[in-house]
Amino acid sequence: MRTFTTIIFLTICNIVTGQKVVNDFEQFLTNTDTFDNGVMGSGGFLDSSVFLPNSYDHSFDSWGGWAISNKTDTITPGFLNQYSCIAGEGAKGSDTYALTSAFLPVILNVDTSYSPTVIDTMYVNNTTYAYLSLRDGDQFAKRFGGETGDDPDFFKLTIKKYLDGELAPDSIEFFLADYRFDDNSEDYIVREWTPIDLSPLGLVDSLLFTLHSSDVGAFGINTPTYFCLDYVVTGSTTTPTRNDRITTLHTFPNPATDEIYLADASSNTYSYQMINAQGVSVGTGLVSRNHPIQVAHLPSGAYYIQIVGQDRQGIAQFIKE
Amino acid sequence: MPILQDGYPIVHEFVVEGYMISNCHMYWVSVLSFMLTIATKVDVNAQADSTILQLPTVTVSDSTIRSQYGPTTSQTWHLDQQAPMQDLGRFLNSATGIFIKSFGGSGIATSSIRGSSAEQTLLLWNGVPIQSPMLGQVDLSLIQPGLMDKLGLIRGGHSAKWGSAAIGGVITLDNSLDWSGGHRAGFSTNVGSFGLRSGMFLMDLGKGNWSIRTRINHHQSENDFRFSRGQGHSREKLKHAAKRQQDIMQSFGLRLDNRTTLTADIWYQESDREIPPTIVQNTSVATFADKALRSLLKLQHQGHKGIYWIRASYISEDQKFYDQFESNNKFQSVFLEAEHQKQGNQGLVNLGLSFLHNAASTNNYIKTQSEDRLSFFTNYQITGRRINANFSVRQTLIDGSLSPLLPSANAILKLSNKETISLKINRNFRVPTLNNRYWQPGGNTELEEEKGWSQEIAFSTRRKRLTFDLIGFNRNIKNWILWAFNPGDNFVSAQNVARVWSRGIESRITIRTQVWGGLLTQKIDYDFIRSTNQSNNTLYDKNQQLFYTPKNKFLVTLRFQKSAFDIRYEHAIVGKYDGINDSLPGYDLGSLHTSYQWPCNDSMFRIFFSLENIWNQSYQVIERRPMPGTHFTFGSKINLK
Repeated sequence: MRTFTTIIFLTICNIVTGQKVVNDFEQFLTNTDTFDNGVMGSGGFLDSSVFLPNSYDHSFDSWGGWAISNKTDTITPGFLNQYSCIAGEGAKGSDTYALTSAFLPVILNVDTSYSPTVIDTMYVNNTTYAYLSLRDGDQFAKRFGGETGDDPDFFKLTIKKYLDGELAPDSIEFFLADYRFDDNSEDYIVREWTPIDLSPLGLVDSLLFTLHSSDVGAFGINTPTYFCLDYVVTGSTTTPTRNDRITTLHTFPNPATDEIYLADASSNTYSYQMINAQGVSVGTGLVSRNHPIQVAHLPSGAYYIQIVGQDRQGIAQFIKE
Repeated sequence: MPILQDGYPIVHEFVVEGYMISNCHMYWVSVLSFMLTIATKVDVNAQADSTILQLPTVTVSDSTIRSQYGPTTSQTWHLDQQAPMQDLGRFLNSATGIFIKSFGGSGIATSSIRGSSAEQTLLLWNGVPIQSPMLGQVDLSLIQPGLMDKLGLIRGGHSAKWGSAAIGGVITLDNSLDWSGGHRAGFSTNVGSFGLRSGMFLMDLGKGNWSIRTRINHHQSENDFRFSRGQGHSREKLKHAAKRQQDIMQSFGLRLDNRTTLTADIWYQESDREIPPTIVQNTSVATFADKALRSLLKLQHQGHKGIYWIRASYISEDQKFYDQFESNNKFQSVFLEAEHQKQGNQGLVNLGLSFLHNAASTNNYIKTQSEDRLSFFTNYQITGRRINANFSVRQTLIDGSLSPLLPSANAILKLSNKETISLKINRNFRVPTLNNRYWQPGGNTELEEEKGWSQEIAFSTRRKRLTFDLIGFNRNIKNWILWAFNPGDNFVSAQNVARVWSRGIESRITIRTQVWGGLLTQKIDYDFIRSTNQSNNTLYDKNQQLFYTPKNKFLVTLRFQKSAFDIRYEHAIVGKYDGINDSLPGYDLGSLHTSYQWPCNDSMFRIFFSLENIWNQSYQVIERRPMPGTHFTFGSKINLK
């Protein structure tokens, strides 16, 4: 109920002001010192104007994409503390923030009601797990600076945009840790929430986040590939006029082989976007109660569908066999 | 290849790829070796170690036909005659044909034989496989050589004889009993650098038709050696690297009648280790605890139509790894084997049936997983005037499914009384481990066995003063199992993605000369190994040498034995190789071992002194894991009748 109220409130605010929309993820957790890694199969987290995809594999109890957390442990090293931010709080002193495990590139989608839009700002920070590993090393990853402290190490976040389904070559880079300075005293690991100005990217449908590290072995990046995200501010180039009802939808059959139907849709037609487990859009179109979505061409795996219509918008998750 | 001139190696012209051996200590070793050789009268019939007290042990013999490997392939050590070593990994480090991947200090040690993976070495304790069915490996740093009586290193594939995992080679550990009827006690102690304190107690009791042997081992070490993080940085102590280990092994023997012997061995082992931080890690809280119970019951009967063996073994191991969170692995194995060997008109033949049940559980399995393997094997050996030949076949059923038929054929052709040529061809396989199949995430129940053929040709000469072996080998293994990323996955999974081609040359030269009334032995061993990936996968490029597989390894040994005095200098040179993150530059290590013993009636007192890494080389075998500089071990041993 709190979620519903917050979204309606934010949507109304946006309609009234026609101004910036803030995504602070405060609506998602009701308890303190906890997290949501998508275990309930939500398929992601839709805040005011952005959607953070999540995939949860119950057979392995592993998650991908994004999680929401308000954990505050800034001391405990290691994988078991993967859901904490090194600041011990969200951006601007808030409780809740998003974080991602980005061994593979992850995506942030602008809600179709607002897309395309300019993303003005977002705040990023290191997780406690990554920060302490960068500072101290662990059994797999190196301490940044290496044996002598002189290694020119870096842990870098690269942000690219999708617009109209096309990945643009322009990118914005942000160093979550940078040890490339000649003077070692200038080396740093980010531990405060830091804003990134994304307005130079212009209009976007979605953002693609990729992590790079200088500590790479045959199996890929050794550094824990995590970062935290909060206070994403989208611009106002598009103003939604609908009083949308955001719900979790269901599809059938699930798992699917050829086509899927919306289980509880009205007779209206909705626009949809299909996104794979890595958060990449794999198809858009129109769907109604009697007109299914064709999925035969998709590789096997987990997907979710984001739909937008006159009377509702929502998310459904399905498995393609 | 070593360059030889008149039978002597020109050591200073040896070149390891990327590593010119020109340092002064290596030069002086070779010069000294050369001068001593040409300056002395040759007479190797005088065995300087004839005064070494041979302990009265009688082994309940195992299948002789399966223990025939040929001198070019196998190497055997009677461990009671060796200076005490801290663990089997360190002991085998100075052998050739095998590369020990040691994490240093209290860290684990695994093997690579002829470019194989660690899972492709079979470890047999009195004929019973003892590696973990979960990992497919044994941590050699937890095996105390002093607990065993005999150690064998058999290079090359022997799956037809011993089953799964014997692709790279086999390490055999054997115990024996004293049937002489007397009572005997022995005690050895070692102290050494980095807080090393160890002691071993051995006691034999026996009379007539029964014998009991007890072995108790205690080891503790801090492993807090100093290492440097680079030029200009002061040396610092390795922290959190302590190791504690206790073993107790109890053997019983009973002669039921003149033809039948029953033996039982029970080996309990407990170890606790701290895992030190890597060289790029500030601190570590990781620990590893291991408890293992291994037991074996063996019945041997000498019948009118041959020898019968029945072996029954139960192994249980519990491992706890902690690094912020705890991972608990447990497994149990039951091994049953029946074998019959007889002398036929044409040669020796045996038939056997073995059954292995493994069950394992861990936090990362959905449930307890198990497997059953049933194998039938037969071996046939012909011994002729000019040729000895051995044929083996094994067929295994794994959980009811037939695995590949494994034939092998070996032949030794005598060119003369001193020269032989041997040829071997073997088909080998390895069953995927339980972790390969069931680990979450990444386990793959669809995995197939690793399988392939290996060939070997060897020339050997045994002369009065010179022994020379030259061995060439070739091995192709399909379905090689790698943990690698599937496209789109953010975790590694087990896949049959690699095909690995291993080939190489092993050369061993031993020269014995009499000097100063003693025996001088000079050995130069050289291994050249190419073990390359031949398929497309995400871990290796095509034709890339496997990780932690040096192409070149030299071992130069200079040993002088006179009466009760024994001194040995070894110099090992390992060429550069690739690790998972970086290339490792190669290293060369010198070590000195000396001992002196005083026989007194039926008793014996012996002292040992070893100095390892004499030249204080800073090196790593596994990247980011520092190894100790110069360190010593001083030990004494007393045997009382």
